[in-house]
Amino acid sequence: MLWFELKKIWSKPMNKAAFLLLAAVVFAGSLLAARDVVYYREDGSKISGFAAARRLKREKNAWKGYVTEDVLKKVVEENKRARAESDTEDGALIKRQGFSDIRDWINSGFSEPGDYDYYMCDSISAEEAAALYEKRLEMIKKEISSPGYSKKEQKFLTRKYAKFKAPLYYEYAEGWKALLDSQYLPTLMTITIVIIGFLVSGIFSSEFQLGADSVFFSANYGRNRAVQAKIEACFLVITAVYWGAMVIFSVLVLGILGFQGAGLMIQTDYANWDCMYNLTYAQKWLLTMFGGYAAHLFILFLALLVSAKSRSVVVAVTIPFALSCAPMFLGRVPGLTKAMNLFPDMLLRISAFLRDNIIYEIGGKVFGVYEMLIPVYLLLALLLLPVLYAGYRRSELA
Amino acid sequence: MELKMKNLTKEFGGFTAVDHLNFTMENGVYGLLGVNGAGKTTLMKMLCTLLSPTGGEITCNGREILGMGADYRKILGYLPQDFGFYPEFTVQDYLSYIAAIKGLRPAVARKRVRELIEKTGLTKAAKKKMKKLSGGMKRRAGIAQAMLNNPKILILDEPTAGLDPNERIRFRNLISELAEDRLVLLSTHIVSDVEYIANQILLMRDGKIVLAGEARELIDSMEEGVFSVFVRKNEVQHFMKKYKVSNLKSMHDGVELRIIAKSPPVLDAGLVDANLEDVFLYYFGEKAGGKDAVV
Ligand SMILES: Nc1ncnc2c1ncn2[C@@H]1O[C@H](COP(=O)(O)OP(=O)(O)O)[C@@H](O)[C@H]1O
Ligand SMILES: [Mg+2]
Repeated sequence: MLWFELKKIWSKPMNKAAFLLLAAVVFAGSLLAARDVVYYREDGSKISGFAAARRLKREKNAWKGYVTEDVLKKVVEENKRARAESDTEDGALIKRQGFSDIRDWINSGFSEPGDYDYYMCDSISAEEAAALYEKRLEMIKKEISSPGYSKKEQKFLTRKYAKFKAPLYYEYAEGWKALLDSQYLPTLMTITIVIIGFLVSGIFSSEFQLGADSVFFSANYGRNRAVQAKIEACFLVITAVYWGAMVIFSVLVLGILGFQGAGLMIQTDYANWDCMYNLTYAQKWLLTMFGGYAAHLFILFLALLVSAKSRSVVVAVTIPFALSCAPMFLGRVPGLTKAMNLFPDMLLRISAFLRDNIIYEIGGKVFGVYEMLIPVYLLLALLLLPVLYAGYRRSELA
Repeated sequence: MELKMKNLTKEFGGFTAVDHLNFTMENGVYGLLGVNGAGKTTLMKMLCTLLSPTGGEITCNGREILGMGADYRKILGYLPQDFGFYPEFTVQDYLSYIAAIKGLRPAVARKRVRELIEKTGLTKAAKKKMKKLSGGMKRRAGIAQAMLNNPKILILDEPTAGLDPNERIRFRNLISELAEDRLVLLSTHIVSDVEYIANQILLMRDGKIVLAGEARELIDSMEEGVFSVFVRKNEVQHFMKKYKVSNLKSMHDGVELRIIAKSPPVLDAGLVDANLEDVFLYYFGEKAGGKDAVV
């Protein structure tokens, strides 16, 4: 039965087209993500993608190791020398490519929060820079003690930040950064959810649409195991297509740019400098992927539930679209932002929003938004299954 | 096998589609005859547990069928009036899928699918997609589907509707062949369908079974006679208005009318044997099945 449910999906020409579209998006997306990694040659010309990754790997790995006080001092000195040896800012940029990441930490560390100053490193002394990790803690403490946070939230954040271990280990990790710190992954997840929604849209509703319902529900298993097979088919398609797309995308991006850097802390990208989650890139990948999976399960099973009730294919297609895209716009409406942060689409954007340190205090306990959303939506998705089963098997035919 | 309907009622909003129906069926072929809207499909959907009654109940060998659940569905085969299927499936796939949801074990299913494809004359079309089949072939796939689990109760809703005369005859023969040792209920609004295959004929009107019995009994139950009258062409209108005319046959010098009436409509009218066609007109006041009735 399960096999035939899958065959029903696959046999539809439109579904084959949707599947090919997804494959094309995954390939194009990985190429675009890789192309964002750039390297400037001596003569100022720019190269990107695989070629850039090869050069950057060599230059950045020269700085491989723990970034201790001595290393920080050396970066400030090298930074000054690069500027002195070049006629222009652009010329300096070419010479700084090997340590530009660490230079960015210093910029982030010493700029006022939310006011990143690209030239901060140029105006700082080596001695000052050596205190980078202390400076980070100091900035964070100041931020935490602002009146925006409750006592419990302050305690929660302090505990999180205390787990950060200095000095940071550094090496080349452009592959992981392109994969996990760019907009491509959230966009891809939005596309996969819509396409999977399209693929599974007919599993429950098309029995009615095609008029095949009478035969289905009057069959021996029509009100038990055949319904179960439908749920299994949905689960299988969601799981296989989601993980397939994600793993292929990740392997393509990392294949082009390099797998190196999986064990690096995410704070090694200055965009994550203030992130409260102390994770390595490999851990962030897992978190992002499982979060996305939870969102897919919840949103898609919700869509299936509503489409099974309404007997409409259109509903099954529009719900994933609405739930994954609309909050992006609604979130900008003041007053709605806080609530929107709890919407399941947040789980599609973990890679982009993790650094925002969104926390919630619920029932006297403080949670990072993702620590809460992933289990909650997984649980909700799980609870939808018996509702879907019970509702569908009792269908009456008008 | 005994299927018993007790005060069976189905209301849609305020409208009663099946109205306090009492009837008991045993093995044999039952022809459910009624005009469109009589409630045939609604009754059959209730017999297939697709609709629950708003009143009364259906029992199978004494057990209420909704309560029996899968035990009842196991012995049930149903060809719906609007038979829908999966357009991209081949006949073979379609039947294999239905066999699966009917709970046939794979080995049994394979054998049964092969047998039924042969029996319904679909061997050449077995690898064709369902959407590519002609109307008659679709219907045959429909009956094959209904027969997969070798049902004790076979319910066929208008199995011959929309078929051309040749297809219809072949279809009737097929049904007769399959009817052995089961309870078959088939609905139609075409008299000649049941005339040939049904042992028992049920006349349904406004949600009620108004008359049931063998063809002979039904014919004998008519309290009027059937007369053959030969009239001029310009008189036809007059007779059509005044009498129930069950058939008219044009000849070169006039028209031969078949009239149902208490007494001879004209002096030289000849009393002829009544048939089911006449019964239908007598009880329903309108003609059955139009052109189809010729077959
Ligand atoms: N789901 C429904 N809602 C409202 N009325 C219905 C519904 N199904 C059938 N009916 C009405 O019930 C009557 C009997 O319909 P049906 O059982 O299909 O008759 P038949 O099969 O004899 O043509 C018709 O008047 C039809 O309009
Ligand atoms: Mg009908």
